[in-house]
Amino acid sequence: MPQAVQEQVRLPFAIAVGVVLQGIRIRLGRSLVTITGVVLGLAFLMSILTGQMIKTGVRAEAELRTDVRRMVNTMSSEIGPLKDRRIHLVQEGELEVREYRLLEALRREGVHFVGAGEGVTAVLVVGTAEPPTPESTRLVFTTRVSAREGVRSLQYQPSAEELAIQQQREREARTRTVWILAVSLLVTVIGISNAMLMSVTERFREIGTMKCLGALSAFIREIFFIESSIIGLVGGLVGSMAGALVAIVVYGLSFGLGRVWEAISWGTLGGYFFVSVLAGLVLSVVAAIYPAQFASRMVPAHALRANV
Amino acid sequence: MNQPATAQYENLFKPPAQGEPACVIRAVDVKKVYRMGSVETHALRGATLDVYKGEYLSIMGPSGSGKSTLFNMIGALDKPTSGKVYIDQVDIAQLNHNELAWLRCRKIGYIFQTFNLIQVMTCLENVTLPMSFAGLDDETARDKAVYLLRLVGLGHRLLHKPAELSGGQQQRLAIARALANSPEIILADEPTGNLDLKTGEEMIELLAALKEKLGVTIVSATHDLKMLKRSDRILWIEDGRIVRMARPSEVDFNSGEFR
Ligand SMILES: Nc1ncnc2c1ncn2[C@@H]1O[C@H](COP(=O)(O)OP(=O)(O)OP(=O)(O)O)[C@@H](O)[C@H]1O
Ligand SMILES: [Mg+2]
Repeated sequence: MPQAVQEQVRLPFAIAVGVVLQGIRIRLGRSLVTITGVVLGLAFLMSILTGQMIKTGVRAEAELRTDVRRMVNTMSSEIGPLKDRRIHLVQEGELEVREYRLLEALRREGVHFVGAGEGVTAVLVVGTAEPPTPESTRLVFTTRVSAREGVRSLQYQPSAEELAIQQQREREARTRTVWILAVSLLVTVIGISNAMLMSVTERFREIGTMKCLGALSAFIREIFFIESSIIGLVGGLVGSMAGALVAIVVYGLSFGLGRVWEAISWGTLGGYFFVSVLAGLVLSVVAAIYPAQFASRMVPAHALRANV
Repeated sequence: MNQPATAQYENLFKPPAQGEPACVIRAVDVKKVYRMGSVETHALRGATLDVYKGEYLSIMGPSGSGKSTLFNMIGALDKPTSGKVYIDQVDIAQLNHNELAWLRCRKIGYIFQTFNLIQVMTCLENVTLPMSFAGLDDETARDKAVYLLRLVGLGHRLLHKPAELSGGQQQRLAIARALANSPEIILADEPTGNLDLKTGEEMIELLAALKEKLGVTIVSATHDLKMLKRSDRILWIEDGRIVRMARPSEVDFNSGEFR
């Protein structure tokens, strides 16, 4: 009695993963080419993001330095030479980065910070409670402890005109960044889809054979998605790391590694890294949808003849 | 001799089994047209045939006559343009994807004209693949694959890739793979085409033994005289039509004609 036709069993996920890993290992050269496509795309994306961050950081650092220098200059013009001055430091609250840097700069200028007492010729109040109003005395000093309390804000207040220019520049920079990001994303998408399509088309015949031997369409689809996830993940990790590294090195060469190092916000960099790897994964899987559908729906006899 | 009418086939050739003919494969007026742009190729122009359980059917025909196309049709690898194919009395057009996959995996063993081995896998893995599709556990599959590969004389090539094998060795690997899930039907497209006399004979013996001991049904496209002589029936196909059918005893193999 002939055995009645049944439904083919679905293979466990582990078998599909095994088949994929084996395929990747055996086709290592080819797999590397595919992964390189993904790596390049994401390295590009990540280097743009990191570079943007470094540039912003370096610029912010430069602005901070200018600000601090300006404050030191204002101070010395108010109270005279700073060398060996004894200044009474009053801390009203937590310090801002700017204030830390000012204190550092003053110490470098030769200021001694002391408690109230002998020889104090000025008082410096820092860490005033937030938020600062235009009149608030974020950083104040008095030239004399006892007598006239000549209070003056050390913060530099840009004029309305300067403010408008600065805002305009920021807007332009933001537009430019969005453009660069869009282009780099596009490049990434094209790179990844191309890599995925190549790795799929070169295997139509193999897939056809598998279908002839009883592989389910679902299995074929699974294989493609597993493979594209692995390629996306590995390519994403390597590419993102390479991209960040390239940006750091390139900007390090022009700005100096130290300044670049200071400018990096590791939290933001981590965020970018996560986004970039995720983008690689998602894009790879998305790029595999069409080829996977196509391959899984192929008539076995046609797939067998496909010669790519 | 004129081309016999379709209905006469069954009367003309009684199946080897006793009682009612158990028809494993039945093709009814199968046509296949390949369309490439505006060009139409009529690969099959209405083929009708019955394959009985446990018989050894050979198919002969010139190149391009539609042998491989016929295999694809009766092997459930492609859909006919018109006509019906039944496997074990089931119209395969009625089967869903999963059932077709089951059929291809368990019921039929294919030996392709172009081998279609998976190049990235070793001989062993090529043979175990259909078994894992069938849900067999790894160890059993490996043991069986080793046994089958020894059977076809590739016991010393277990971990080689198909590309590292000779044409004949690849053909034997394809034969071993076709036997992986102990199919009831073997469809072999020129299974001895690349084999030397001795190896070819061994493979013919192997197929004959499968047929005799296990009742496996074998359909094979061949021009190999030894194979033709071992078969129960020989079928001629020309330009997409089945033009003749005969028992080997009725054929004069020197001229390729009927006695
Ligand atoms: N996928 C296809 N697309 C277009 N035409 C095809 C296709 N497959 C086969 N043909 C055509 O159909 C006809 C029959 O081909 P088939 O492969 O069945 O011949 P065959 O008898 O197996 O020949 P051979 O002995 O050379 O293997 C040929 O004319 C061939 O060109
Ligand atoms: Mg052929």
